[in-house]
Amino acid sequence: MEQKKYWKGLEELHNTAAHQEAVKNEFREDLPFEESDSFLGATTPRRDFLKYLGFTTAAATIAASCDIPVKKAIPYVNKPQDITPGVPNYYASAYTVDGEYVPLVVKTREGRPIKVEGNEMSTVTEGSNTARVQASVLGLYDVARLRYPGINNGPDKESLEERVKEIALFSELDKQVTAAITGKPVVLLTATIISPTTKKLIGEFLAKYPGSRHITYDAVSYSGMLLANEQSYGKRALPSYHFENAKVVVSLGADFLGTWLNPSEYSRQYGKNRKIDAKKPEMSKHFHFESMMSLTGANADERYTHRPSETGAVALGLLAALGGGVTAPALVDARLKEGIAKAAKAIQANPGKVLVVSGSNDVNVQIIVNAINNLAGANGTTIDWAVTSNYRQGIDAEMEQLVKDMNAGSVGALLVHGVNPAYDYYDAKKFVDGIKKVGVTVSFNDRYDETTQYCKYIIPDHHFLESWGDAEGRTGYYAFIQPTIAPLFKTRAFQASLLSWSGNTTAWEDYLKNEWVAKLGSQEAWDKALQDGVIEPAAGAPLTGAAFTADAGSAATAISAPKTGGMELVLYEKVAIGNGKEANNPWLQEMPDPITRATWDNYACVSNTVAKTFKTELGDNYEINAERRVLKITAKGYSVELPLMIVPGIHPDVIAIAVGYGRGKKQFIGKAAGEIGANAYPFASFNGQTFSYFATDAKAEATGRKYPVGLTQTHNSYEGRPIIKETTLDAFIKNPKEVNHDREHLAHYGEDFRNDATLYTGGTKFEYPGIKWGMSIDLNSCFGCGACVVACTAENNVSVVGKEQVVLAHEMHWLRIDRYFAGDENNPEVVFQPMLCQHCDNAPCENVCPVAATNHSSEGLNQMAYNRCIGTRYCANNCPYKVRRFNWRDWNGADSFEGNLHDTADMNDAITRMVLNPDVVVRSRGTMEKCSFCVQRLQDAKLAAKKAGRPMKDGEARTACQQACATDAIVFGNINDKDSRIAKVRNEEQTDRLYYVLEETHTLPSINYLAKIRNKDAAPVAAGAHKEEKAHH
Amino acid sequence: MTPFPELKDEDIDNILAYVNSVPAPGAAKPGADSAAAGEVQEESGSNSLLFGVITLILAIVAVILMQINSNLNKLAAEKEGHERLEPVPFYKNKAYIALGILILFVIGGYFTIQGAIGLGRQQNYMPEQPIFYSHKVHAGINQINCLYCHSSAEKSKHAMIPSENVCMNCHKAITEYTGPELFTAEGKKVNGTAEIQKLFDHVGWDPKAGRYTKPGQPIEWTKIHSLPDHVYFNHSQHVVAGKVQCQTCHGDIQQMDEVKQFADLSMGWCVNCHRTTKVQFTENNYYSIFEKLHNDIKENKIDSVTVEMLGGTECQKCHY
Repeated sequence: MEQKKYWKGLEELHNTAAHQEAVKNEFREDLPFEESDSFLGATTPRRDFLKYLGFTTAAATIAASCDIPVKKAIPYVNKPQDITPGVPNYYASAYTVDGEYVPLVVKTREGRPIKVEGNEMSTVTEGSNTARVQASVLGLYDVARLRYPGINNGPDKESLEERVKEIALFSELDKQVTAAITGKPVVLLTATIISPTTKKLIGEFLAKYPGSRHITYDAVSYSGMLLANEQSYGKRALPSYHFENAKVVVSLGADFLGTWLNPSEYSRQYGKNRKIDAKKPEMSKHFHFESMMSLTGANADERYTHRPSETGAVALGLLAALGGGVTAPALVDARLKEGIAKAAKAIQANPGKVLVVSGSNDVNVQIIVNAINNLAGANGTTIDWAVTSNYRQGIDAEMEQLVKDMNAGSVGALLVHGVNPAYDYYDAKKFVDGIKKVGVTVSFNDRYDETTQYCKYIIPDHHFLESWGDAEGRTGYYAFIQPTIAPLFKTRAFQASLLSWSGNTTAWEDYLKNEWVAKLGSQEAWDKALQDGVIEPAAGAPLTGAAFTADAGSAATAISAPKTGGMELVLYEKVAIGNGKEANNPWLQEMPDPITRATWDNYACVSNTVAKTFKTELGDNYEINAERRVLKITAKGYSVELPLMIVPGIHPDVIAIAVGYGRGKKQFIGKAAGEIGANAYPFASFNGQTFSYFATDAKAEATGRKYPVGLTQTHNSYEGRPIIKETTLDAFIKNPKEVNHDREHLAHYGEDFRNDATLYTGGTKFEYPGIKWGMSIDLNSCFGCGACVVACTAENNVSVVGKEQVVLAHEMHWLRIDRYFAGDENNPEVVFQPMLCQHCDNAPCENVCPVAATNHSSEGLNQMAYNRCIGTRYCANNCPYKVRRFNWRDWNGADSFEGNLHDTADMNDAITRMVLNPDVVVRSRGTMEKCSFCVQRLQDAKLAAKKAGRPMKDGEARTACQQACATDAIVFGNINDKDSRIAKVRNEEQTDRLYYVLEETHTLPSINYLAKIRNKDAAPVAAGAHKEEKAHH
Repeated sequence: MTPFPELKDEDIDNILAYVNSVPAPGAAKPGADSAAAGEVQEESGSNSLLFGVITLILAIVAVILMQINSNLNKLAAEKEGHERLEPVPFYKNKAYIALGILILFVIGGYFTIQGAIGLGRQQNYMPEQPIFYSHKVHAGINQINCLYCHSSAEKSKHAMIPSENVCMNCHKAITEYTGPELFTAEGKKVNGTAEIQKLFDHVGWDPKAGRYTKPGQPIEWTKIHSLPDHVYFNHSQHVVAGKVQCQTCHGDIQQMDEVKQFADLSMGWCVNCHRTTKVQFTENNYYSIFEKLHNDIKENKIDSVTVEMLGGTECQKCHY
């Protein structure tokens, strides 16, 4: 089989001179010393000598003169029974931000939440979660959160303290607010709320103030789906989707693995059909139609691009091809037409095993999608209408009406909770004008954000980890939220305010408890519910469809004709940042975007063909150099200036911009999110029914300015060595051995590659007497979502370095997800490969360490002793996998010398540091670090078994990345245990797909990968790639 | 510690045998290899002294010889009638100065490095505590089990100083001290009852009324045993899995009125113990996975398994 050529970016594809230069250097910059042949030959030998002499003398003096500080050990006065210092406690909770439903288990140490994991008792998510959920624990310690309730003095004052006058007593605020709102119709403006008890309470509250209403506003709206479902099925709701039952998945721009509705649930389901059982190889087939390159699109088997204005035409085309009795507008692109025909054929071949989803917020498009699903027999098989989902509830027209009413001065009081329309409403100015005309304004938002600055009363809500609550993600599927820490600041539950203002003196936690004790029948049942974290209906209820009653014909005529000329602009959510609500999270900002691999910014994504037309003189080194040309993008009378980012696979006539950036001042929003990028929400519009997130007639022009973007794509190159293996499903069924044919070459080295392929006579026999840790990563079910990256960051205290340092290739992630393109640069295939320390049994890094700071353990771990490391960086130079990260700065205040600290995002505030895992040391400047296989977790699992006097069970020791993976693409365990999952994967289940990266170098990695399999007809092979590879060796 | 997995046990035995078979240099007594460990240590001490004396004598002899040589050279030169400069006195002689600097450098370096290694170590540290709490009275005379107060030592990495409510379990009833007289390290007499009263003051207990009258305040003990942040140490591992006695690391704590740090808590001290301590290899079923070692025991190749044999001296057992 021909070896495909993979490229991380165009620079590698075209092998530019700048790329060749860049790969030569392991480290991007020169040492901060003058280089000269001899010390005395340097231009300033005397000064350098004095400098070094002075530093060493001073350092030695300081080090020698430091007294041992007297430390205090202060025990509890009265130790809480369930807290043992040093032993973590776990509490069930749930992440319900913006209507997402992810039941969680929260790990606390000494009363501080430090890590969240998915709750495996939930059958909805089965323990899966996302990068944003993983990072939510850092949100708790966000220093930009408002710390007290108060009254707003208006936006003229400079500092936050001057702007928000603290009111010491909540009762005082309650008195003022109730006096102000009594007799007025109140509008409660919230994001989607999935808590049934909160909703009940809202009902009671609104009843107290006649004429009041509750408006749900979703920053990124799904009301098109809600309204379409109302017309199609008589229910203004979302069904529950079952991707696991779908043999054919067709997505019309729905990024269900990254940002669409509840991605953790869908990734889990979808992943089940992407795993390959070697005995019975089959997998789902995924068609994807989109304008930009999304995470989900990157994972599709067949991906086609279209202009955003063609979305309806594509849906209609599909319905027409299925015999839906509609006429579809003609499409120009032949490849797209062919794709629609292919998808239709696949749908027809698999009746009842099809799921079509669409990311469009257009009612008519969604009605057409419903019609397609109806024709394909999805109702009752992959779409369940008996159990509906509550993930989004906002109706855009209601928000439109509210803004009109506000401007008309007919809104007496506005209470804002968890929404920020002054930032993310498409006509923010109109909203701001309106809010100024509202008599009484109250904000419950967690920070002094764009909307809160116009609200008079500010009563910040708790973070969810400090809160009591419940959630009903799907009908009848409940999750419970309990506080895992006492409130850090003087905040109050939003519900407590509503209770107080509706004259109810019950505390919110009692209200919630009473509600549930009444529902469940007893206190014990409530205690159990809190402990489990979820209550679910009995399993086995059949999926039920619903009668499709909409008129597809009239929807078809209502769909506007596609535009043909000019550029179009499409808005999207970044996987890490989402709609921007949680943007002030350094972990999320520093997580490289799965597709662009960029951090800390938004940018204008365009295709390479279009980029060339902007007269920006991109030059040869464009992809290498962090400095990006800035484009001015104009549409709908609004314009932004953003750096240009070339994204292979994006439609040539499309500019894609991520929302969630361009937030307000750093001092109010936070250092991580404030004043970064540009706000793209104003490009959205209201089409009379719903918000639409694309714009036609967009213009882009070069500004001549440059702007650096922290892009990790070009850091660490394998210089074209083959590290990915993939094949197609058909080819795999025909000859399962073929994907690994090159492993046969290893036989040249003797009978046993492991022992024979060595220069040393007699071979190197490695003995792992008890445990030998090993990991397997399935490239087929890894979607590149990045949850593992953030989980690793949280578990291992991985440092945040900030954008300027990312530009210098100083990012510290122990686990990165490499994204490779292959094939045609306009319609590339994409592969994601998580890359972490391979824990080689014959590790090149170990041999070169002059101080033996990195060496091998008898359990197969490549150990890194930070306190022994002297920072020669030789190991990183010698690592073929490029997974070692060097601490160029003191990111954590771990140095002995003060003033070295480099912190751009408030990661070293006393409050933020509470998130650090106390079992893992923070590393100081000048040391190398890398993945440890979460050795603290391994040691913990071993200790538990030792203390219980029993052998360790398989699955007891789990790495953070493994636990965070929504699809269980990562399997980890003891290879010496023949019954372990990892041993079975390696020795029985996946022998054909199993390979090691750069195996021929005889590094003997402890991590194996499983070759990717695409469910597509034929893999395009770049001609000559194979020869080139051969020449390389 | 890099393991040498390619070495078989017999290889290691051979190496050890070879190492032991080499007679100790210097004035080695015959039969030294059969000496007990203590004797060997003493002997190496006397050896270094001997080497030192010999080196010193040799150095003096060398200096004298050099002087003689130089004098003879001088005489020879005079005899041959060469004009010679007045010899520089030895304290101005560059060779002597260089030698002196070298010696000072070596000695200074030795002490600097020793000092640097010892930084942060505080063996025998015995700070004054806010309350004169006597382990001798509690654990020694009254035989209270260590784990009654330090109950976390079985569960957690921290042994934990007990919270005040644990103290009050007994001290609600015990309000005065009636045991033997107590003295501080400086020999000052301590009033035990007054020290108990200090506890009551902290915890807010009124012994006369027999109830808590004030909110409790924590006691700020001075921490004695401190490990650097880059060391992971787990009490429960040693107490439960290892069945190590508290006294092994903390000394005869039941004899101490005021606690002092018994061990230096250096890495060398840890590693030495890991090298010699036997694990509960056959008793604890966790170790059943080590088949080869079990076979070796069965075949009488080894009689026990030390922590080191299971990888207990590897970096990432304690540093992560």
